[in-house]
Amino acid sequence: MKIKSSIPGTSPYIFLENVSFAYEQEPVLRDINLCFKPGKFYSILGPNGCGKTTLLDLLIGHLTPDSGAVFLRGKPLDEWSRKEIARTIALVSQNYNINFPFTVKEVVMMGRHPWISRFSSPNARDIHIVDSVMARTDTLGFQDRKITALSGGERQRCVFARALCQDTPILFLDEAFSNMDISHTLKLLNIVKEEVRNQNRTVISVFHDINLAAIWSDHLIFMKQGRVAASGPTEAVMDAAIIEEVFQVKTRVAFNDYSQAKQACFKAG
Amino acid sequence: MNWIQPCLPRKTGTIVCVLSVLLFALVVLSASLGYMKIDFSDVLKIIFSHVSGQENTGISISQASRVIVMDVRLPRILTCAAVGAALALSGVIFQGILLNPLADPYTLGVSAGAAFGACFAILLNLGAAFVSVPLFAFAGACFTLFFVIFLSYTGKNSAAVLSSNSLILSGIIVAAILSAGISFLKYTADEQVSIIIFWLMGSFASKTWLDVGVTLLCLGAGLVVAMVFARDLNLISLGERSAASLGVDTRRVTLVLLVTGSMLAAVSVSVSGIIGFVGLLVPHMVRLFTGPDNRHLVPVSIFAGALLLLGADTITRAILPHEIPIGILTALIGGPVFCWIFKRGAIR
Repeated sequence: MKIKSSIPGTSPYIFLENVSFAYEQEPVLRDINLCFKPGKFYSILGPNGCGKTTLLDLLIGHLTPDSGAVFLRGKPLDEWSRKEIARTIALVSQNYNINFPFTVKEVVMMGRHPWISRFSSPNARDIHIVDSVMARTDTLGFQDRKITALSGGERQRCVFARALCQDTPILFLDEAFSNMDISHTLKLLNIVKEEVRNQNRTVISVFHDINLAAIWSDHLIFMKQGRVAASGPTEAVMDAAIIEEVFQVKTRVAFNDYSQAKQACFKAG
Repeated sequence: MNWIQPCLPRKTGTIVCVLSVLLFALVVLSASLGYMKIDFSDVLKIIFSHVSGQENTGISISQASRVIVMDVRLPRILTCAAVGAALALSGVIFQGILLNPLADPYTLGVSAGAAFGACFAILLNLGAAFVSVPLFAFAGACFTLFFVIFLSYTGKNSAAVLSSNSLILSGIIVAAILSAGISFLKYTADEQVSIIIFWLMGSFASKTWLDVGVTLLCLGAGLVVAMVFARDLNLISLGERSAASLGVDTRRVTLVLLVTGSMLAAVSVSVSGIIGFVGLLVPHMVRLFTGPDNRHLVPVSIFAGALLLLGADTITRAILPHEIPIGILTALIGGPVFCWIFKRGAIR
């Protein structure tokens, strides 16, 4: 199976056209039109239940839209095989519960699954990628420990490392930092930013921390009740009026010299 | 580091070798034990003379021993070993696809379906044609499986169709209905109720070479499927969503493995009745040695399952003063062992 990235004109590029989706009667997403370009860090923000995870599931092909279409590199997503998608998009999902006592290294090596054919074993390149990713993500220290014996944050780091090992041009982060301490969060976000800058990768991240998102993202997408409330470059849409409208909280936004980004403060009550 | 090594690394290879030697030794030992004791050397001679096709070489061995070993004991022993292996393999598969270390071959109600089919056949007095009880049991198991798949084949999320939760729930519902059905059949069965109860408790008495052939064939097919999908099963055991994002066609792989595991369980139950705890316990004990990687777990579990069930059957057949149903014995031995493993925290 030849990788699509070697063909010119098919750069990483995701495109949603009039996408609507409902699990049951009530629509979860309505008429979404979005476009994701390579070399950019996108963040999706919005209150609980606004359809953020559903959107990611549609983009990776776990769900099929009721109407509209998702295109990956110019080709409708439903024409892609699962394996081709797994070589193009990696997902760090919210669920990092693992019931079986695999070692950390085994779990991270699973990220190479789409690249290893059925009966062969990992080659030198696979092993090299896994070792270097584990070194970068600070997981080498417990590589032989059982994943079931780790804390939630440590497990999240392993799952993150696994997604990096997939070595895909597109990376989805679904609240990937929800249980991580601030130092590891910053460390992993730095890695992600490096990948976006140097390897021209696309990152689409679901965040709850608006201020973190504002520091790291090139582009913010605010969602509310299944619709895109605002979408644009971070400097433009990081705006008190938008945040107040989306989250219904009193907000002030100002440029912060220390973090070198616009930051929001919230008023209690 | 297991993941990095080829499918059967040296350690697993060694374990499999040791277990297969042990299994052969147990087969010979078991064939020599019983109401009539036969020397090991005689058992070996009888087996080898049959394998090599020279029936008349050992004049010193009586015709009676020959018949006992070849026509009575070996079919029972080999069926028992094959069923033990099939149940263990089925347990490995179910624990993987249901993402649940506490699943076993009967979680989805396959055993209840088989039992219902068997009860039905016994009640209609089809037991005279001796194959029909197993056939009805098998049909009942298949019907149950397809109904469970039908029930859980819903949901819009392609990674979550046939998800572990919906499978387990469907299995519980179907099993509940079927066990009520079994109770009803027992209630209407009058005198045949004891036959039904005895059948349900499981036995390897009077098995034939046909049983050996059928179970070994299914075991072989199941083993091939399980080894082909072993790596996908590793990923599925992490959760459907993760597996799908890593390139596993979860719906297809789950369906293939589900049918495989259920067929193994269905054939086992049809041949020998409901034998509990082998499918639950063996994968756990083996996982303590090999780790959770299915490429190692599958081959080792097969041998461990065969050893365990054959050991139990030999105890009830040759050592205990009266033969008790094998299903009771495995539960009586397996239950406490499971409690011990569980309490040690090796499962959670």
